[in-house]
Amino acid sequence: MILVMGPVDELLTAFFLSHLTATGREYLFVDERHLGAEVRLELDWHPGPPGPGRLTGSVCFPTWRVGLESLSGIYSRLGTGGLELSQTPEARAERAHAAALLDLFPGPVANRMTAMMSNGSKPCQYAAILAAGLRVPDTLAGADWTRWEAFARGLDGDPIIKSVSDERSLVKQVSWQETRAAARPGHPLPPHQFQQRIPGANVRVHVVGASEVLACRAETQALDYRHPDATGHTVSLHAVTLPQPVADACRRLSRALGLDLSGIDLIEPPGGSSDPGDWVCLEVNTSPGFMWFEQHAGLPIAGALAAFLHAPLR
Amino acid sequence: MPRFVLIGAEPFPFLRELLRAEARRASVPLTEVSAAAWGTTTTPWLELRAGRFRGGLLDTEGASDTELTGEDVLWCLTERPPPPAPSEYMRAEHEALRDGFHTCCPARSINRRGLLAPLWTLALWRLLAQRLPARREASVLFPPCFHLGPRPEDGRRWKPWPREAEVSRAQVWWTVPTPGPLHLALVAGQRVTLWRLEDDKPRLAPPADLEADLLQLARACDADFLEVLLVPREPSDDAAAAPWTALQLSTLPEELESMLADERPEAREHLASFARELLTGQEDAR
Repeated sequence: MILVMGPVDELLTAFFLSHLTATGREYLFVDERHLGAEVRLELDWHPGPPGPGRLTGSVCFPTWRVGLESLSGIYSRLGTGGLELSQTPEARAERAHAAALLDLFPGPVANRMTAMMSNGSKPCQYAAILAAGLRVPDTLAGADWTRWEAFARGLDGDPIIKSVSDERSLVKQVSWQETRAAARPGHPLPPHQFQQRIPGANVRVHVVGASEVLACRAETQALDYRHPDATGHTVSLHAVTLPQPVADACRRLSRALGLDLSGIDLIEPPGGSSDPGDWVCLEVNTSPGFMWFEQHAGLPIAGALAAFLHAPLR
Repeated sequence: MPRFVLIGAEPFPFLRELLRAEARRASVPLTEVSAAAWGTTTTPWLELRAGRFRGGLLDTEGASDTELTGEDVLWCLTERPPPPAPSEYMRAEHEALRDGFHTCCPARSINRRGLLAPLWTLALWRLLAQRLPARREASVLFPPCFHLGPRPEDGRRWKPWPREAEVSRAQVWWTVPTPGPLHLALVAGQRVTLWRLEDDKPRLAPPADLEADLLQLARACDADFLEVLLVPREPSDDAAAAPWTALQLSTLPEELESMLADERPEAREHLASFARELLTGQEDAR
């Protein structure tokens, strides 16, 4: 049985639950709003060598409970949907227990709370991306002008500016002169990240269980394919098969970040290449909203995720 | 010539003094950044070109720029939250820049911080639970039993895990079989020292198996310096109980600082030799 946790009215949670219902998969759903009210978690951790017996416990409802031993995997959308969450001690405690369950559960979890943190700082991910064999754009991250001009002048064309964190921001191309002119004397420069603009096609790769690789190409004139309408462009998504070495690099990257579900943003070099060192990785989304890609490119991501989470315990 | 950068060492004046002396002895330039300056007047930067990271510290008041290389040593002991920001977006950006610097800075970082480092992303009780036993069947060091939820009524002595009770409000309880006397293990690089925290804190020779477990625990946590509170099994206890149980784990040298304040020569020698290895060696601190 798959445990799904998240807000019932959040788009992706609802989409995945519909998929489970339509395909007859057994699941247990916990609405995040009910944690600490109608739903509690009780967990016991026993010292000893690694194995399924180390963690025991239950998901407790007012009149019944479900033992962890009957769960095969967990899908979490906790923290999404922009909910105003209850701040009672009970609700805070149960959200913390849910986070602990995601980290401690011995079977597959998409995704563990700690594994999702790498997305909080893009440079943190760059270290893992490079180790996996993919390329990263030349980048400057800082909060001062001192290094900016020399960096910008060393690039081909004007650089891209984007957020350092995972806070959603509109990616823009800016010139050194415009940026310098926008500076306010006496005000420190806020943290920023400048990057070389990379020519090529946007490819979004979803990796499930660090094995199944489902990719699509986004065709658009927009700088940021996720927000094409912000610049008056359209986007179309088409499923593609990645060259094997590139797919393997994505698997390595997903595994290195401890993710059972990842959304990897790549730039395919003009003319294509099977060498992962020619493909640029912009970032790894650790809580990917895969519905859009499934609906527009026909990628069977929900099915792959359900099959992975429903496998017998390792 | 390597450089030694020490950030946020104010809560540890005795340790800081000793590190200053070791830096002088090794003729290594020491740069100290206070916790208040770090992230405000001294900001990190990070540059990536052709797959190679460069990083450093900019002093925005004195306009000095200190680039750190793989020869240099960085020990960030404490940090404050990012400076007040006009929006949640800006606060997240400050934090992300600092995390990125810690993760990717080429310097040899002691207890490297960042979002890929288990020491800084996992709650410490979970770190103990998941990283112990460190050497499977050969291990002599185990975590306590943990329970999440209401306090169990099973006759055993359950205690709340303090930090969770204060911060996340999680109800995390722990228990061990009848605990023996409290001990402290200091892991610094490849050296382990063991101290009994009672009766004038005598230093003991750590049993070889326990030493191997503690070194493996530090490796599993990507740690260079750890303080571990632990208790041995009582002689009267069930022989099936764990020989040693780790009760707490800390990256902060608080017990070491207290022993330095008490002018314990063994503690001084332990830290001095760790510092000498770092400042004269070329190997990664880890």
